[in-house]
This record gives sequence, structure tokens and C-alpha cells, in this order.
Amino acid sequence: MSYNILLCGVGGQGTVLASKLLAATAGAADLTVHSAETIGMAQRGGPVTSHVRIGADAFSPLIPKGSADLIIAFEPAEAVRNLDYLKKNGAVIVNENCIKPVTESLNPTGYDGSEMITYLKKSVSRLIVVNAETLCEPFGSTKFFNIAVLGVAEGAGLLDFSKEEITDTIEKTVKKDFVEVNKKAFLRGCEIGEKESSVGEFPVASKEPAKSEEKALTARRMSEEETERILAIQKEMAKKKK
Amino acid sequence: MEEVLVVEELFPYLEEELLKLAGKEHLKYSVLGKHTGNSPLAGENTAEDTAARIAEFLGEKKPDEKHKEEIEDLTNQIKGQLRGAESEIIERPDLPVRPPVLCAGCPHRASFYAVKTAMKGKKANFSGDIGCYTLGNAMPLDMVDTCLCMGAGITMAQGLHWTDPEVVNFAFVGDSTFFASGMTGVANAVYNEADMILVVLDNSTTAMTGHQPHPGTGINMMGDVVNKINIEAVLKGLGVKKVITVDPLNLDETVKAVNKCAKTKGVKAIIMKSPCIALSKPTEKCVINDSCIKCKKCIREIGCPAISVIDEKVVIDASMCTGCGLCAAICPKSAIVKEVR
Repeated sequence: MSYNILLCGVGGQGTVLASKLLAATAGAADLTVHSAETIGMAQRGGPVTSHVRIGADAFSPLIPKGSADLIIAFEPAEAVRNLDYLKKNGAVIVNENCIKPVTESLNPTGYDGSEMITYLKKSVSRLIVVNAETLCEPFGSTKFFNIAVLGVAEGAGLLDFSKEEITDTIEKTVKKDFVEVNKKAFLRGCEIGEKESSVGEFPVASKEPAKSEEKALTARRMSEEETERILAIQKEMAKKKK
Repeated sequence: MEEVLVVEELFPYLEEELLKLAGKEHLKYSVLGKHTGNSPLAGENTAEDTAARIAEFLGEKKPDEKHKEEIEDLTNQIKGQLRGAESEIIERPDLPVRPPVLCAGCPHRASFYAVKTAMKGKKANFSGDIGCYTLGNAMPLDMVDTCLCMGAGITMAQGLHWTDPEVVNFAFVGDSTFFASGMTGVANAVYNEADMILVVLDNSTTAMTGHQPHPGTGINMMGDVVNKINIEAVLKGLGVKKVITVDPLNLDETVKAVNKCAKTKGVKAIIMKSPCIALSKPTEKCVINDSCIKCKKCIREIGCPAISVIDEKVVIDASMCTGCGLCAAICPKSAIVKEVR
């Protein structure tokens, strides 16, 4: 059994870091995890998605359509754009604050996200609508929404990790100066999510320990592991030189 | 083993290696993949397509049938998710088009705008290349006429020169692409005496693919600090006589440099040097004051994602603005001012 999480939004909102945190938390819990992210030219202003698949049956990083257990959408239209990925009875967390494309300033169509939220409310039964601006108000910037929304998922019972497991990963992954504020953002997200716990009342993937060879397949590794790998290569090269 | 299905993206590498192996070892198996039409030549592999191809390979079901069933299944799923009446189908609202754009404060925007300003009313071709600056193609900048592969902008610009020597030909190349495959094109242009202006958009990184080091950054692949290769010295070494380095965020100076180069013969190079906004924390921001007459020149001409119209007022999103000042430089009423963050 695998638990599939699709994160989507607009380039620059921090979906990559959020997906890396989820993948790292799963890795630290000895679960098989695969992930894939949109990077590159779409990094700013374009639609982006990150796929995270957790569990012994996750054989590849891309989530097939109709198979996401959870969609975390950083923007209303992006939630709708990716709704085909949602599993029957899957859950959606969506930020109701829209990001207007630049084309909107040149040729206004009146897009403000509200139509998308109405559509989501009608078509998704397990839906949590959050407001990133309100959620991130104490932190002075919606840039912390990527971590706060993981808190919402955690609080609502949509992630099979403990709060501590996630805060541990935050400590290990996020730049030192930002650890505290990110932890606070995460915990504030948890509080909001706990109010929506009815949405989380579905079974999530059971923790099956990964087989060692499967772990080796983990598509994206964290910087620490990457450093170790590079060091190992360097050692190898030094040996060959001798 | 009788048959192999190869599922891979980009070049059919494994497929051809398997074919080589079959020839070398006289093995009797067939390889299905891009060469046999069993895999698409281009584009991303999706889970659905791959599953369908594997199913077809195993003789389970034809992909068309499988797709049909999948679509039906999805429709049923969506119906199942409907709150309330099962039969009610809600029309999906039209999604906004969201093309990727140059970041707010990106120095490339200023570079393109300066060249555009200098060439207003003149015949010019703008050959582009591969990098974040390919996005200079988007409206309202509209400054990338060609885009083929890394380094091709430089060779196309000189080729275009020979087709119509009256037109001013520009080639835009990023610092990383310059080192990757731009230098050979410059040598060709110099040696064959083409008239062209090379614009090196030097943002001190390989921004598009995730800030990998390149020979101009001073950090090598192993993370060691090493001597930088100087772009200006490389260009001069290749025989480019006129090499000007400017800060593109200084609009007047940059426009002047472009005009100066447009008037002279031969290969000229302008290095527009300003770091990628992702490399540093902004210290300033731009704000619009009450003298704004809502002419929207800043929106119409530069397409910065930080500027938008909210409640009929032109506003700058402070969280996005880096204080590059390009909008302030073009505002006819000087209504945009820089502030310290």
C-alpha cells in the first residue's frame, strides 16, 4: 500500500521544500519514499507540481491520475488543474488566496480564485480551505505557508507522522536561522488542521518498513546524504589516484 | 528472453545499447522502444501512458481500450465525489493561463528592455538561447525571435547578418550557456567578420536548472573554490575588439552601450552583469506614490509579476519586489520610488 501526496501551486511558493520535508520525514521513519518535482524554467510564476509517494508499494515517483490520497494545493486554480489526480474519497487542502498570472494584468479576465473554491466545495467532499494570509500573519510573510500547510495536513490527521517527526526534519533540513519560525508556522498549521480533523477520518498508509534495496531507490535525497555521497566518490577517486 | 520493452525518456540510450549487445553477442531478442514506435520519441512519460504500453506489451489490453476504461473510471470517480445529488455534474470553471515569467527584479528583464528601447524604430533581430532568459520571449517584452539549442543564438545571429546586412543582429546568451557552447560561435563570427552584437546576460549562476556552478562562478563541481574564468578576457582572447560591461539595472547606461555598439562594424559584446535575484536578499523595494496617473506603462512595457492593478490602483507587491528600479526608471511621472526594506 502506498500513500500518495500531490503538492501543487505556482513556482516560487515553496512546494519543492514542502515535498522534500515530507520525503525526508518518511525516509527518517524508514519508509520507502519516492518523489519528483517540477524544477527549472517553471520555477517562478508557472504551474508546478511535486509528487510524493510513501509506502512499500510506491515503485516510482509519479502518481497516476486518480490515485492521490491527498492534494495540497497552494493556489485555488492549481487545485482544480490537478483534481484529476485525486483518488475517490481523497482529501484536498487548498489555499483560497489566488495568485494572478501576469497575463491577468495585461488582459484582465477577472480571475480571483473564488470560482475555483466554489467548484472545489461542490466536487470534493473531504476539503479543507485555508487562508494563507491569515495563517501566516504572525510570521509576516506567506512564504511560510509551505511549512504551515504541512501542519494543517498533520493536524487534520492526513499525515501518518507525529508532529515531532516533522519538526525533527525541519530542524535538519531548513537553514538554521529559519528553523524556529518554520517550526512555529508548522505548529500554527497543526492548530488550524485539528479543527478540521473530521476530514482526516480515513485510513492512511500503514507504516511498513522499507526493504534495504528499495530504500536505495529513493529518488531524491537530502543534502546531508548528498554530501556523504560526494565525499565517498572523492575518497574513491583519491584511492584510484594512489 | 525474446522481447524487451524499453521505457525511457530523451535519447533511446538503453534501447540502442540492447541492440548493440544483441549484435555483438548474436543474441536473438527484439527490442521495442522509440525505434519501433512503441514509445513516444519526445515528451514526458506519464504513469498512465507507461501502464498502457506495458499492458499492450504483455498483450493484456490495447491502450485505446484501457484509456477508454480509465476515462470512464475517472468520470465515475468524479461523479462519486459530488456532494449531494449523485446525478448533478458541475462544469469545471475555465482555468487561468499561467505561463512562466521572469521573476520580479530579474536583471534579464532590464537587459531586454534596454535593448528594446535602444532599437525602437530600427530593424533588428533578437536571437535567443536556452536559459531563464528564453522567457524574454513572453509579452510584453517579446525579445526572443529564435530559440533552438544551447549556443545557437550566436551562430544564428551571424547567419542572419549574411541574409540581410542592413538589420542589426543581437544574440542573447547566459553566462553558463556561454561557457557550455557559446564560445565556438563567437570564434566563428569573429573569424568570418560578421556584424553582430553579443549580449552576455551574466547573472553569475546557472539559474534555470538550479544554480549549478559554471566556469565563471569560481566553484567547481566538487565544491572546491577555484579560479574563475573571466568572460571579458575570453571574448577579447577570441578577437572581439569591443567588449563593454554594464549593469543592466542602470537603464540609461545600458541603452547607451547598445546604441554605441549598433553603430560599429564587426562583433561587439556587451556583458550585462547583475546577479540572479535568487542569490541575494533584497535590501530595497519600490513603492508607488500618489502622483501615479494610472497610465500603466510599467505593466504594459515590462511585465513585472510584482506589479498589478488592485481596486483600480496600480500596486507593487512588497513581498516580491527586489527594488531593481526598472519600473521607477520608466515611470513618466516619477511616481515610483525606492525605499529601504
